[in-house]
Amino acid sequence: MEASAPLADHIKPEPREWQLRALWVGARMLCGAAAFFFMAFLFAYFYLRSLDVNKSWKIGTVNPPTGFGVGIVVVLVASAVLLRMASKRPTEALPLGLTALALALLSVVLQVIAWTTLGFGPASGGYASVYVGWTAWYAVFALACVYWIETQVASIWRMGREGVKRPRAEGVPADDVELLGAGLEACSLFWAFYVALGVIAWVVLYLV
Amino acid sequence: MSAIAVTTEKPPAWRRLIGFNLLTAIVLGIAGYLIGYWIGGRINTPSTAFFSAEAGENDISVFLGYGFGVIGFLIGLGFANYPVRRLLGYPPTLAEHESADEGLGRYFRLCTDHKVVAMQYMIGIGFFFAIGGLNAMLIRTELLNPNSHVFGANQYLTLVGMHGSMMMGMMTSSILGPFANWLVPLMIGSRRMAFPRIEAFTFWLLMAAGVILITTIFFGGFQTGWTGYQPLGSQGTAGYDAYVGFFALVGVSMTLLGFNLLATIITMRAPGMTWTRLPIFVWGVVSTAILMLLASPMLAAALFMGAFDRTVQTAFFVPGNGGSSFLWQNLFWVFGHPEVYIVALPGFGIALELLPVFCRKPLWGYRIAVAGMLGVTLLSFFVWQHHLFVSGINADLRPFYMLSTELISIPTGFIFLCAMGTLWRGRIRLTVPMLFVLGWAFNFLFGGISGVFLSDAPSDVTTHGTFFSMAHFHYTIMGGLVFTFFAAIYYWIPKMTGYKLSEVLGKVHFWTLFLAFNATFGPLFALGFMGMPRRVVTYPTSLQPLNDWVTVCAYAIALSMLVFLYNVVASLIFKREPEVANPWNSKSPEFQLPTPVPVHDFDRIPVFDADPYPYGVEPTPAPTVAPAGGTA
Repeated sequence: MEASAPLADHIKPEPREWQLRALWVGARMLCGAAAFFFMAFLFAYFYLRSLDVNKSWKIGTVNPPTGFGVGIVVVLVASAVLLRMASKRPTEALPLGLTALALALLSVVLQVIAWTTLGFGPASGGYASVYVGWTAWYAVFALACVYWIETQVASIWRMGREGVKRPRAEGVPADDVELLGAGLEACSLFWAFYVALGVIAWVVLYLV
Repeated sequence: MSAIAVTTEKPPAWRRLIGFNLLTAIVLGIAGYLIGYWIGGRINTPSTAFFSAEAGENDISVFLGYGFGVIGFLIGLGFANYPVRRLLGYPPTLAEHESADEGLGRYFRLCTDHKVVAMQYMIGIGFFFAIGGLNAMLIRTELLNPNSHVFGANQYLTLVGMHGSMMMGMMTSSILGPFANWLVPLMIGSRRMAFPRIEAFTFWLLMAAGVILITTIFFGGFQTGWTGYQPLGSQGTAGYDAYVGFFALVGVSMTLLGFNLLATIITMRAPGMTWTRLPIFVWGVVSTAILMLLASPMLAAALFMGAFDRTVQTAFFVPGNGGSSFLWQNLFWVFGHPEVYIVALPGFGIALELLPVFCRKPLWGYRIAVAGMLGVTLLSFFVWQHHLFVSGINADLRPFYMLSTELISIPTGFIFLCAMGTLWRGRIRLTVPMLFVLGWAFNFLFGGISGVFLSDAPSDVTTHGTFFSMAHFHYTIMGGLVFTFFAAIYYWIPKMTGYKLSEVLGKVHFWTLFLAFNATFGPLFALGFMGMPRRVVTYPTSLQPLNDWVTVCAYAIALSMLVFLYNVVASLIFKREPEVANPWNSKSPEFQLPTPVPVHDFDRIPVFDADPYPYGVEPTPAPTVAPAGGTA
């Protein structure tokens, strides 16, 4: 395979639906991997809480910032809903996609601000450790999702700007619009699932 | 996907050195490390982490150094180019430089041809396998005498830890990396993996991980063994940071490798390649990939917790501040036991794939074997607590985990039964690959049976932490994985490279390895029963004769490996003898293609119209495959 090499005449392309299906399946498998990753933090939460070694589950006054917590979850859910809506009409989804992207980024910014207003440190017991670890890694992977969403939004924008003059995807027999739709569907599905994991984290860290 | 290269004039050698390749990657990797280390120094000097303050170390610097180093390394290889293009909205593309006329250069940079990535894995993992093996020789040298020491206790423990980590971390990909990447697309009728860049990424990430582990020797090593037990880990020097960085990257690499393989097999099977026609090796890959996809993230999460404990001063594993060292044990073994099957299942797949070829009869009990593999996959998530039998777990939990662990021997038995059923009344050809498969059967039998003793709580209490346990897992992993790994090498390497391997040297390799392996690890069962503890630099003098015997036999294993190395170098580099397209008269799709397999694999996507093992069935149909450039 060479970037500039055309497919030789006697070589037939692969079925066009393969890449679309790969994106569909890939997004769902990523959901599984993400679930197991955060399951480790869920396990840590209940394990340390039930052990309560040296009565150190919470050392001193350890209360998470509820306002920020609620704000982050609301922003995340709104972003996921908008992106899911955008995936239904991929070629006309620029405004929805942009808003979803901005909200996703806002959720990370809010989380960073929340850390600066914490009334406790990472060493303030088991709860504090789980809170800091869980939210930090959630934010890191949320940033990765922000990148993914941005690539989808940028694709919509470029497709709208360049229209039919847009260079064809190399090596992918599927149609550009189909690919865009499949990519957006995969991205929005994973983002919705990831936000659902965030809601679970919020329930556990703030409500339980 | 375009398929063939346009031949262009080669640029001069000096020009080819500048660009996205391994050399640039190393330079940027080192620069990244230094920048990260410097930034870490500005953030916190020195670290005030719980136990390392007195050592004057800065764990933040070390971790940032590793992080930036890996990023620089990947940028140098060209991994940032495509993501940046996507960031700007350019369409997705599968086109990548994979031109066959670039010669050896494509093996030293980002290449998305699954066959090139497979060979990269083969060489890269071979290198780290050699280092892990060298560590084993040093360990055995130390154990020649209980009182006179070659290394100090800490150095000895670091050697043990590096050997275990290297083998368990790198060798998990020893079959999936080289063989699954090379074979799966060909076996299912695809030209590529579902996500070729991710395929290449997993390899280069693994290489970065291996280098990070080696750097532990500059930071005082780590004394925890490959299991990284806490609180020893938290108390360790910055050498433990290398362990954390290594395994975290391995975890990410394994997750993505499993993800990619699974996506490929689910979505890119050619017409006619139904689930019931899938070669059994591919089923082995499916079950392994499921475990990698789901278990490895737990390991990564646990290691990230450990990294946080050492840097931002959380207390996940620090009992004094609300954490628990048992939390680490739980999280580690939720990954760690599936890891054992991640290592074993591809070996099962290879053994069952090769047996029909050399018995000239269909695989006996294909569906039973598949059920066995999936059964092992499912059950392996419910057995981890047997590793904690002697760690003070609730006694009421023991029967459940004892039962679940013993249950897993049933699906494992299915697989073994299928192997024996295929051998039964077969027209057995004792080729080198077949010898290694038979060696696997013999070794794994002992490994499996001795495992029952360790799954049983009462007997585990006396054998856990002794050399008995070590003998058991070497029989399963080395006896299982390594023997099938060599079977795969002798079976597929001629196809992959186009050159023959010496049959005579192969047989010398097998017999010396088989005898030396059993002479080394068999006595370890006895040593374990006599109370020889693991991870202790000294032992009772009464055990010295047996230990000396084991050490001499371990050296014999090393000599056997040298025979293999000589065979590979001589056969593939100096005495090149071209191999025919189908030397084993196999019915498998990859052997219906010409040798070497063309860059684009197939002229058109093949149609499969036969079961995968039609041996001994008259007439003997082979799967319909349309190879590039004519028939084999």
